Amino acid sequence: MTDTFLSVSDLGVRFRTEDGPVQAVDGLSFTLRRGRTLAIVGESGSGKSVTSLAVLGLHDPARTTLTGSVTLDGQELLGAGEATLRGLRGSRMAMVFQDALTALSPYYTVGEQIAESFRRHTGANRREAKARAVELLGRVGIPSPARRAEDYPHQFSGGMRQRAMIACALVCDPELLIADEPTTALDVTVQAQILDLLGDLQREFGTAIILITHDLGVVAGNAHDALVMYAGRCVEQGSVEEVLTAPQHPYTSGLMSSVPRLTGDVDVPLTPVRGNPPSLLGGLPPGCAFRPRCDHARDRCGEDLPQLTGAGGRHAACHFPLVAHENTPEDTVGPTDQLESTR
Amino acid sequence: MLSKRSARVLATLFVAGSLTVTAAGCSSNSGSAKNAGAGSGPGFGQQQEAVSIGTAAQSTGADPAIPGAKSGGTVTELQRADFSHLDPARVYSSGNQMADLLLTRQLTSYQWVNGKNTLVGDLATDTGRSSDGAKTWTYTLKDGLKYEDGSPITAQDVKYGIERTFQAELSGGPQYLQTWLTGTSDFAKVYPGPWGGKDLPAIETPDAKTIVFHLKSPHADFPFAAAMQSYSPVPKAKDTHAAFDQRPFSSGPYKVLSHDAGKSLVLVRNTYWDPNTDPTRHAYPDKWNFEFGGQNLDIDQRLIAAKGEDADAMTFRTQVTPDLAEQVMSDPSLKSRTVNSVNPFTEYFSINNKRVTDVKERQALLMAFPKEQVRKIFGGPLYGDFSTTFLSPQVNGYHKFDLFGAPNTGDPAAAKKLLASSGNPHPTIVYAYANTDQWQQAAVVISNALTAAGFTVVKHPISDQNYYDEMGAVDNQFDLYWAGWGPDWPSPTSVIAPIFDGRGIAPAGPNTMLFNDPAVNSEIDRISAEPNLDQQNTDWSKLEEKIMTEVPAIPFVYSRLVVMYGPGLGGVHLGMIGTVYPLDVYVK
Amino acid sequence: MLRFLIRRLLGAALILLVISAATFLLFFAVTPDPALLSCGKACTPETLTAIRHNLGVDSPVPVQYWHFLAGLVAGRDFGSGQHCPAPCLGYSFVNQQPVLQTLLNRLPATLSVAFGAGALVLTMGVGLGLIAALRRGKPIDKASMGIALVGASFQIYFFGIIARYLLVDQLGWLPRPDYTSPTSNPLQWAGGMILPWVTLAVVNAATYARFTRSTMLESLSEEYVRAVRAKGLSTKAVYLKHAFRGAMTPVLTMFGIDMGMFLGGALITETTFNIPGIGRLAVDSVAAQDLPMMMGTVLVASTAMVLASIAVDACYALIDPRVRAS
Repeated sequence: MTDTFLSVSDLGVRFRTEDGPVQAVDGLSFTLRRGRTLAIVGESGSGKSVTSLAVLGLHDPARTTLTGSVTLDGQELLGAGEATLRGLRGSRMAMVFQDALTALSPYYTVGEQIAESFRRHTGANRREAKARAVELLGRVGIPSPARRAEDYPHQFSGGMRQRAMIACALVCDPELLIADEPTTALDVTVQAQILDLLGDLQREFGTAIILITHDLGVVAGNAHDALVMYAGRCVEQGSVEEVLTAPQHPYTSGLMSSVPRLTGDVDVPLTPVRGNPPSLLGGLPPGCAFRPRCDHARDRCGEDLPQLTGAGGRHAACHFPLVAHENTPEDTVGPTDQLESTR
Repeated sequence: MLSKRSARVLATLFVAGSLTVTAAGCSSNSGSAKNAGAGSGPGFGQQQEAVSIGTAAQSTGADPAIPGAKSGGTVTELQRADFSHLDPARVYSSGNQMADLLLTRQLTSYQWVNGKNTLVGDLATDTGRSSDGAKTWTYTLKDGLKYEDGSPITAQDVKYGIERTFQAELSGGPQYLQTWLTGTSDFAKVYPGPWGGKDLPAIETPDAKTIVFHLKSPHADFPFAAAMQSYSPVPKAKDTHAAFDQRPFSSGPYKVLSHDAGKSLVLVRNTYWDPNTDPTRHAYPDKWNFEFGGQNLDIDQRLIAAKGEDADAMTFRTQVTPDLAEQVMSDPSLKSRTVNSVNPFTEYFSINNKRVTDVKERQALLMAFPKEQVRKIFGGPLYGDFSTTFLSPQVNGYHKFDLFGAPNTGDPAAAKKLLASSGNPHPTIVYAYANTDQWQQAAVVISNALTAAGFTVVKHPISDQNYYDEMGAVDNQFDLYWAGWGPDWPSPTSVIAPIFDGRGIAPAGPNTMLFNDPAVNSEIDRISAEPNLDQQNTDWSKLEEKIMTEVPAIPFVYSRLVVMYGPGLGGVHLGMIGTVYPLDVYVK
Repeated sequence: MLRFLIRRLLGAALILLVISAATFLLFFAVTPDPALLSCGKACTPETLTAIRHNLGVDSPVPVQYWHFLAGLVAGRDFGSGQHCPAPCLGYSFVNQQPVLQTLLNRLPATLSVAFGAGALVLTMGVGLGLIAALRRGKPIDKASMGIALVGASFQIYFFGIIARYLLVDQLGWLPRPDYTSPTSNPLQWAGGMILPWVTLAVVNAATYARFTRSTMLESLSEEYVRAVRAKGLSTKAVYLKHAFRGAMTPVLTMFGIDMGMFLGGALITETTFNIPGIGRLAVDSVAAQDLPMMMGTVLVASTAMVLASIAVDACYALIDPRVRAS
């Protein structure tokens, strides 16, 4: 607990929609220290992006109810005023979006967009802010940054754009960086470069990073801890190594088998998790939300909601965890291998 | 001798479904606000003269002052469209005459005193001296007549002004004098106008004050024709040809200060005009501001509100819209500043005498016709007074007669009897009308009434732009259609001769009934040649009654002018030409 | 940008040439003989021929059009001594004035109406739309959209006449709508313009309000707007600097079309309020069957439309760098 920077405990996010209420996140808890990366993994709709927006306070207040607690460096964020949050956003906590093409405004130059955040939080003048923008562009590896700062996003390549957006997020040296699928839109080579860049920056500045992804391949080698979400709840968490080498929840295991591998038999088809995630509309049926898609489900799974159990940061929410059976080493790709495959 | 243009204006306005009917005419008591009942003329007895011819004594000196009137002030006049012409040679329609009444003088003009109009000498010392059986007319100019630059008005200028009306470029004006002086309606062949340097020998000017007209045939009402604005003096040196239309050189009490076509016209005093030479113009206001472009409803509302400068505002011919008529007529303070008079226009439903040849059948049409119901569609009593004649009470020679005693609502039973005694007891009648809302409603009413009387009615709508041309075709295939007539001066000559002369039948001509009776034609010739005006009027009256026995048309209404003016004005009354007269207006 | 403008202006000239040819042929082919109108009673074939010659309508329509084009460059003289100096857009025989002179004379009134109303429409409409978008679902959103709906359901000739009747004729709160030259009396100019401006604004602003609201909501749902919020920028910056910039383009397109129409002469407004501009001139010239003047007003209207579309495109380029690039 000593240098916990971000603490989320029992976070609940509930939306009002035209079709009825949606409990998008339920009872989510995790902590994050400076210099560490937490990967939040899950399919789309599992609540991972909602969690990041809730942390930043970017949800639509008119139709969202937040419960629980989120503290940043000891400061409670839930219920904090918009002005407080605005002061934190972009300076102490920043966000990198999935698709830089849509997340950067097409109407302003890249330099301007990096600079405006800096000016907002430091009160720097236009010239200083511009110098800072150029500096940041250089740092994220954009060649001739002074010239490129004058360009518009559409004049950048996809990878460059993503770097520019990271520069945007880093301009005020944030202590918490939330990267929401930062590499999904990019090809594999660029993906690795971007992830490396994030790692380098973290080592340099001690940034705490939340890496949101649906891709366990990205998690390996790029995060210290992993948290797997399903239907708005955490189903498994632990260190990346633990989660990837010995997944306890059948869902995690299912995700693992849907990751393409370069080692082993290339002809073996991927086995994605069968079925679809449940609709969160109108509440879930009793029992385990994953039950309809689970090969191991038994009667009890339809009756009791499994709680997170475990110790030392290693938890899973399954009545019949996979520890003892079926999990042969050949099926699991080690973190080192995975790292190789993405580099 | 015909006023095709006025008729055309009338027809166009009508066809557009508008209540605005304007052109030439004479006056009754202004603001007499008498509600028009069936056939009730405003106080004219049998054969009373609407306009008399004044003496030389009446032609001298200033126009008798109107009690309570004073000089000064600015009058604002509001109307939808600009005057289409200011050049007197091109001025014909009543709307255009209004401006030239202020800007020009003529040999003769009408003097208005207490509701009575008299034709007197204007530039001339009298209304003209005729010789040679009304074929030669001689005028002598008064002393002290001046243009806007102080130069004298001469007999040569009067001649030049009339010569200009021959010029083909200056089209649009009346053609009486041109025709009478050359003896042909194709007068441009005889004399092409003065711009080529040619002289018209039929007008002599032995000296600067004397002018003699030699006509090819007798015209007893020459003094009336001489009063038309078109025959105004123009000095040759000041003839700017086409540009004259925008800014005529003034011989009248006012001159053009500025003219922004379609927008505004400002007239200020011609300081050289001497009121003591002019028995027909008071010219009380110092300035006239004409504003063009307002919608009729807006003009009415401005005049009702009469705020600020609008207290001194008026309109010459924008009729009170039917929407506001009720309000205006029921509010004494508004009604008191309304001109509401019968004007010289008559409207009738022409029967095609070429197609409906049986007089009994024509009489049955008249007997069955629902005048009252039709007038209601067009606004009721304010629209006009029911008529049984073609001459309006505002025209000399008018006398009230009703040969058939048909009720205004129509009498289908009587009509049926007439039909039964005719040669064609089950006739089919093609009724043609302009395809507008009001005329469509009227067509239903007319069709119902005629059907009830035993006619089979075929309704034939005509697009309103083409109404006049199609209805006016000499071989039209219709039996019944609306028409109207406005005389150019209040003489029966300018009514009976044009609309009933069978030899004048022409496309879009005034004889819309296609009426052609040789006996009537020769009688027209005889009366036209009558040099004695009083005798002439009496003879026209008799002829009108004789023509009516043949039922060439169904008289409908004598139309009314109903317009408002601001409370700051006095002397506002219906003028000689069917619109409000500007010459007696004063600012209180 | 300069090349863009030059290219577009050349294109515009070509379009106007085509429009002038089309309207010329249309007007002069389908309308009744203009000479007949001024021929009057007892119109002999000879007089008619003379008048036709004077009016310049005695040759075949294509030849007349050629004379029209030549007149643009060299000016024209007509049969009865009328001179029309170059560039001659024709000569109005009703007004006895070169068409261009009348058009230029009427232009200031139309410009006054167009620019004043345009500014008001934009501020009112966009302002209401912004407020509604920012307070989506709140009473103020519903109120402003309600106002907008009421405004949009008005017609100029209805609202204008009622407003005029109440505010001018009955209560006397506003001066009578009228055009005074702003150089001669700016106060009277503005006073006389209030009603036309407000009427045009009320009737048109509604559309802008609803349109701005919807494009603004669309823009607010863009990812980059969320990204801007994640930077901690103020609400004002988020809405006005970022979201609004994205919402501006479609609004501007609509505004360009409307301005083009206003500048070509707001027919109904000018007629309703008796403003002597191009629009009323067009109505009057149709009533008077003044063909050359009708042509002139059509050309002004098309020129305004074409220029407005060029202006809109230029604005696009200013707003959106992606347009500039292509």
